[in-house]
Amino acid sequence: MRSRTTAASRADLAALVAVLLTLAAPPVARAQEPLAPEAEPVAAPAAPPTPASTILNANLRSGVVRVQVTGQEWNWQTPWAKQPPWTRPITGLVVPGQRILCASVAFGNHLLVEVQKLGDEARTPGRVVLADPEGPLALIAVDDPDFWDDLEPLPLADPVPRAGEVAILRWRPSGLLDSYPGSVRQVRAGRHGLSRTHLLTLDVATGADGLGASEVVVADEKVVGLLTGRARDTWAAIASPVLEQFVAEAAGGDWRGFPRGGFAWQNLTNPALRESLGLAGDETGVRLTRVLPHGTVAGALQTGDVILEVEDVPIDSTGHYDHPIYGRMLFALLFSDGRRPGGTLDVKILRDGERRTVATPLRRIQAEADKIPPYVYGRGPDYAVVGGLVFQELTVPYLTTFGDWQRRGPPRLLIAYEREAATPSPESPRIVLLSSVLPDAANLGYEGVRNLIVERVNGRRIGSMDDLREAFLSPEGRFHVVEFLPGLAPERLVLDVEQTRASEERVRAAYGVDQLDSESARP
Amino acid sequence: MRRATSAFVTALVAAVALSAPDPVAHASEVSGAHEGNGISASVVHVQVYRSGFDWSMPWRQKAVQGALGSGFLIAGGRIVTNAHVVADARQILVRRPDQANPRIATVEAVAHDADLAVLRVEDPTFFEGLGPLTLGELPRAGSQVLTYGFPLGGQDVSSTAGIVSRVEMRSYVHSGPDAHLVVQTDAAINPGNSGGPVVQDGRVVGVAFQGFPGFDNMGFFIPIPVVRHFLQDLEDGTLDGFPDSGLETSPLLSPAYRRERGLPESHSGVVVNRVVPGGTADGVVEPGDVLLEVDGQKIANDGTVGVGDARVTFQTLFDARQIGDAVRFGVWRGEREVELTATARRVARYDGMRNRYDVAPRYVVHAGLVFMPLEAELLKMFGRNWAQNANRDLVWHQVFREAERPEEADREVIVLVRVLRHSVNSQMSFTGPVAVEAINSLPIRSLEDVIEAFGSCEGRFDEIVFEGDAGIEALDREKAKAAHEEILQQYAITHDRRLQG
Repeated sequence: MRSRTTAASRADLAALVAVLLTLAAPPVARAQEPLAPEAEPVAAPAAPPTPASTILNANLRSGVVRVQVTGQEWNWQTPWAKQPPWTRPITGLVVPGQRILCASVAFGNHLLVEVQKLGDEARTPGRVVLADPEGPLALIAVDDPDFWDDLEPLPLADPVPRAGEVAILRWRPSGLLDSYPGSVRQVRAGRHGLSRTHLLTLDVATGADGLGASEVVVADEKVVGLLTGRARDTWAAIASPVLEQFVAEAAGGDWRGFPRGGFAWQNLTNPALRESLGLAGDETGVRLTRVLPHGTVAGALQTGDVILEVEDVPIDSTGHYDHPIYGRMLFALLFSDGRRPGGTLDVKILRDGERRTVATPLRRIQAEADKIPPYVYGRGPDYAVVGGLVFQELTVPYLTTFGDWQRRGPPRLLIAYEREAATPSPESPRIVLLSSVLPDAANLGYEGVRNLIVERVNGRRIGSMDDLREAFLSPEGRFHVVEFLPGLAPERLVLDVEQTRASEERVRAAYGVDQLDSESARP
Repeated sequence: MRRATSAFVTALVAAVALSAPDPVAHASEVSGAHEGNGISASVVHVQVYRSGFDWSMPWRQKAVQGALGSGFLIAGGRIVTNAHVVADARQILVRRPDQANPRIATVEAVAHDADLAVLRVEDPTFFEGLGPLTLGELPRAGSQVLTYGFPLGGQDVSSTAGIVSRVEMRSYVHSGPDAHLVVQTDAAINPGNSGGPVVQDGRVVGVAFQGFPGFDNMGFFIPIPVVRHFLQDLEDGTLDGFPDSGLETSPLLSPAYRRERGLPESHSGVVVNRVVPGGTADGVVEPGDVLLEVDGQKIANDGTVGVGDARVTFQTLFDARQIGDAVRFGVWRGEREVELTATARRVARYDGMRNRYDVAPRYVVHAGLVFMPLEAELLKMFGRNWAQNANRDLVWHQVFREAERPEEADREVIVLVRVLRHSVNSQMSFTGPVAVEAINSLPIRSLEDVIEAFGSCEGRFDEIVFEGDAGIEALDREKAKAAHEEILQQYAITHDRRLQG
């Protein structure tokens, strides 16, 4: 058995598919019956679309506006540069306090926001006053007082209907406000956009397509939700009670975000398991398998605890509870629905055979608190180019450069994501990567190196880009030494300090890297 | 680069099996020997009926399948063919081109890591009038060779001429992670040619074995140095296999890296990143050494050595050694050159990275829970892209653990592969194969541990702890024991365990 030594040989192998020359008759069928994971029950096919029955009245028209957002994402493969800009029309909902509410991921790397109401020929500048990607929700102010003439906030429904017909309002490019018929399939706890927080969610079935840009869902002349995207064969909307909470707290100038539990858990559907854990015959709950360091239960609960109740609401063995209005809901919702950081939540647990109630302080988990941030807004990639080697933090936006990254990404990075994404430590708040190499005389021999996790630079452990920057300030004599997580070649590489310095101008010019270090670009 | 490589190569092999090309005859084949009937007469047709094991249902074998290949006679009344021709064979029939009657053959030895096998035919009349072929040397690039065999499209022996395109180290797809010397040729090598001789100047210079579907004029044969290694290995009656260098190295193309190692301009070599536990270099070569030469052959900064006219990775030098032979290393360590001697060794744990043949899967079934050791065959259930699609903990163990936790390199990982549903276990959460950490507080490091753990429990419940976020599970001990036999019967499992493959 031979070790292969170069990345090139791997690429070579992957590109060419070799075949054994045995003549097999019948042709070899190697695929065995796969061991299918137990499938979640799939929702029944969508009901046929109902005929349009909701006629838009003037009231509705005065509460829905068009928002045009222009934005630009960073290019995480060349982290000093941006992607081509985009412009997206989305639908906005007029809310009290002369604000426009949108449920959209567009408000992350936006550059320009303009609004338009029915009948307007020109667009009016808007201003994002609050955006929380954990909705995703955003509030827009319009400073031109004339814009608000004839606009009226629409009433928000609370509770929202669990079934029945709705109208979906969407602004067409032609300046027409369109209404599509739809029907509510269910109310559930769901996540939207890139958010990790479960929010009260409406699933809406409709024959219309291309939705998910904050279209307003209306029933009985009240807003029941804003659409964010597709969920299997239906469209998902953030339900009005969540919108109401967001708008009200924002109006008070005190939006603290949605709190989140911050743990992983397992079902306790198996009666033998429940009994072995010491649960009584009629007792149910779920067992914690991991506690994240920044969530609501951090410090209060631990792996192995069985959550029996949250705020006196019993949790069943599949992690659901009986919502007084909406019925069976995933219990993650109990941490966000109507709650805000700063309060506490009573969680009744079973630990070591004893039942106890623990008051947990409700906390939100900022994306930047994760070891591998799920999204990065308001800043560009944190990177540094040293001797043509491109170093940056491992982030989900970087992983998405692999396309269907959960199935196409570099295997070791996928393992890091699975194991460490939300569990930073004080020594290692981030994972630092050598993401690629800009070939130059200073890095001769390392041209094909990419996607390696950096463990040490010049003998110092690297747990953040700041560690990396500091470590490069103190080379080992005439050399910089970079060491990677072992297992993928090369496990170590060496740069000449003088050559590295000399490479800076060349790399800048040859690859159009204006800033070799993202830090130097910041104010 | 073993870990990533093995992941990718194994994926590749799965792809091969799934996309076996249509057995269509090549249009450019030329029938008839160019070098007289002496060669053709010693080429035999090999028909195999095989029945391998089913790794997704390890207690059962697969339906019988037929396969065709070629072979050739060598000294001692033996027939050389490819391992993949006779893998999992239950019946092997060989036929001379000038005779209609096939004879039964048996496998004398098979080296799946080198894709070679030696067959015996009991009936001495089979060899009447036949002369064994003699072995030649590594052919030069650009020289002409003839391939002989029984490719699809006819019953008769066929031969085609071609040019030696290049000599290199390449993956042997039959086993997966193994790489040895191969010779690429434009002579037609097609389905059915496998195991046939490649001839130059009347002597065998290789054994045809693999190709790329969709690439014309590109076939590969196993060159004589690999064939000789196999035959010499066999001389004492036991097959020991090829040594593993145990060296994970990087090229030293970087002048900065060479200077940092203090390597004089007059020297060249590769830097040792890691020394694999149990490999030839283990305990002798150290990380950070610059490997200058192996057995007196100087290594270039790109990691190659001269083989004939070609340059090939230095790892090929280990193919020249048998297990137990002395291997000399020259390394640059600190400020000076050091001479080291090691004994050529094979890393047994790498069998878990290979495609498995002629071996039955190991397993234990307890109350419908199917446990198996983690290995490449098991991960194939996740498809060719298992490195990206399988449970991430399993991928870590298979590909990365040896490097990241060398002290655990030889650890066996036991996987709960499947749950055979029965009321006693059907309430368990099981979302796919998962690594088992402990059962009844006993850490699980082997199938024997599984048996011991279930046997030793005193409490009312068997408690199973999984790795990662899969948590724990439990069985009602008495109910599980009572249901065990019934589950075996219901699912047609005759034995609840196989501890030796």
